[in-house]
Amino acid sequence: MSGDAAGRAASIDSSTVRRVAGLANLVLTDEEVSYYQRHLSRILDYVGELASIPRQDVGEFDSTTLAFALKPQERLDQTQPSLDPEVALVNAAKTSGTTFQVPRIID
Amino acid sequence: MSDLRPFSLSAAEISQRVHAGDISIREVADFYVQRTEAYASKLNTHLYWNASNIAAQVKDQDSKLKSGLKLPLAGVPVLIKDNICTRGVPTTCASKMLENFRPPYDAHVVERLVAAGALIFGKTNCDEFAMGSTSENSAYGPVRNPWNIDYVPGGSSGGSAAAVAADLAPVALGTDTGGSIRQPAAFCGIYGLKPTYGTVSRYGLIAYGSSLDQIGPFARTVADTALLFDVISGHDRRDSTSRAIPPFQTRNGLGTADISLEGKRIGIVKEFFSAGLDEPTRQALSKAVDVYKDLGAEIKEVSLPSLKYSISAYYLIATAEASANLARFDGIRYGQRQEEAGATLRDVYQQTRSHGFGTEVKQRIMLGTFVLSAGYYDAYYAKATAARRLISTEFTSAFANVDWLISPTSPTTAFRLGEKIEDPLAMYLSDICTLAVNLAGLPALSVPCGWDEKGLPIGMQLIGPPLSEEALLKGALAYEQTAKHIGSRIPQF
Repeated sequence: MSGDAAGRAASIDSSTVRRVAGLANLVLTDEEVSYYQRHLSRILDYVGELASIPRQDVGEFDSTTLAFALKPQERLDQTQPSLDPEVALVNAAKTSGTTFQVPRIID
Repeated sequence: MSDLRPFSLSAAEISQRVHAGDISIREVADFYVQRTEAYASKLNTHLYWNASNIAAQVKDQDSKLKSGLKLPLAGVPVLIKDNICTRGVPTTCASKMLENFRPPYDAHVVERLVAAGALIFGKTNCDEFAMGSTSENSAYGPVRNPWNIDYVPGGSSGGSAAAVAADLAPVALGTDTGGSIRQPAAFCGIYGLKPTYGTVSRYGLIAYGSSLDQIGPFARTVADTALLFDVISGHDRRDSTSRAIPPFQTRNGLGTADISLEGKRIGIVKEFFSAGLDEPTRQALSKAVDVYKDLGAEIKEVSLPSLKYSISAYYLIATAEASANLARFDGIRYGQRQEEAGATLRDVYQQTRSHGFGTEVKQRIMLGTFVLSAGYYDAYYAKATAARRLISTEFTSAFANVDWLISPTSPTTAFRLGEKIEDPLAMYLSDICTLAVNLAGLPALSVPCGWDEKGLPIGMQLIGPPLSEEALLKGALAYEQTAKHIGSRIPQF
């Protein structure tokens, strides 16, 4: 990443693209790295316009500042019926008994 | 033998005639099955439909009708965007990732439609995980616009919009995170309503940007838009952002709509009429404003200077939320799974996601991941949320002086297929008129208001304060009855 952290004239280098892809659990080909480097740089350059907003003047957004304020919806903390295990498992590619199966994570 | 003809009946009329015994639910279903068989492939509107499944629904709805139930959507075919869960019926989000996914439950809106007598007629094509503005980002091929099949229908809910415009169903559901109902409605010459955030339950909607997503109706008349919205609206405790309000009854208000708009104040949003607006759209909007003037409304110019931030704010907030929401697609509980011999758990995640997601979805996930990552959060995400607050505040101030706002739904009519797909930023910029509405959680309706010289439809956007859906629909009805565009042209495809 070059350019200042406030987002002006941002461009993103190939190692940052690979790092971000890793954080998102994606593996990219060299061609994809080049594609995303080009397009993400253009997008980050464009959104750099937000740097001109004085954050201290407006504060951060939260849902209560929507034009129609969101009030948290509460409900009683009661147990509700959930999916039967066989129904919950029906879309899984690999199962074992009543569980989802994953590769071994502990030797 | 029924007298059903294409474009001849609205959803409201179908329900009325079914109740009157004038036509049967079977006749309605047969008519729309024939149209689907004839045209769905050509327009690539449908990802799934099944005649036997429809026949079973006809039987169920017939029994309810015979038991004397009054059903507002009796026998009405409704199409559902493919990011809304339908029990036992494929729901792919137009992605390879979910190509074999059959949800174990119905979305709240689907439950409501079935209870109201509707026939769930199929699942519609869209941009993958609702990310796009043309419906070209589908793993199953692009949707085509029935007004000219070389043009896009808009997106992301392009399959629903194109199908309703082509009368493959009288009404459909879409979802709108940044304009994905309104823009395809405009490109296809029909109505599309993005409701106030929280008025329609998102239970069973596969999430993209949770603070922005809303489900809403497509229809060819104001009355049908109102009818479908009323049925799907109202509180649902399974969605924590669902408002504790009863279902809307906007259709009752429309029956007594006073066509005069004396005393109404309509704001023209200056920033939406600036550079980038094509001339046919500018002229159509100008004529529409004249219609409102003639009906007695007071027209005022309104300035919302922070709208200039809406594209940046939207694409940072929506992608940040998407990066979290789409983390669930990892090959373990549902969807496809890629697993080479000896793969670790992380390998499974990475191989599955790299293979299952398309180009645009990966781009948005990475953009969102980047802006939330250490060192960049304050520069990007925090700034975007500040811009969101500014935009929301300016809308609130504007609605102190006007009843609703008018803008184009899109600065241009539909693009040619392939015209913008290679340039994601240019595609994002075309969403300028719709994004701010989602950032502020407001209701907005796209109203068909003419055609350009190529015969492509133009849409006008009415934006109101929170929970003003009935007022917006009445405003649209006043225009519909005066301008008389509806039915004056029918797409040839």
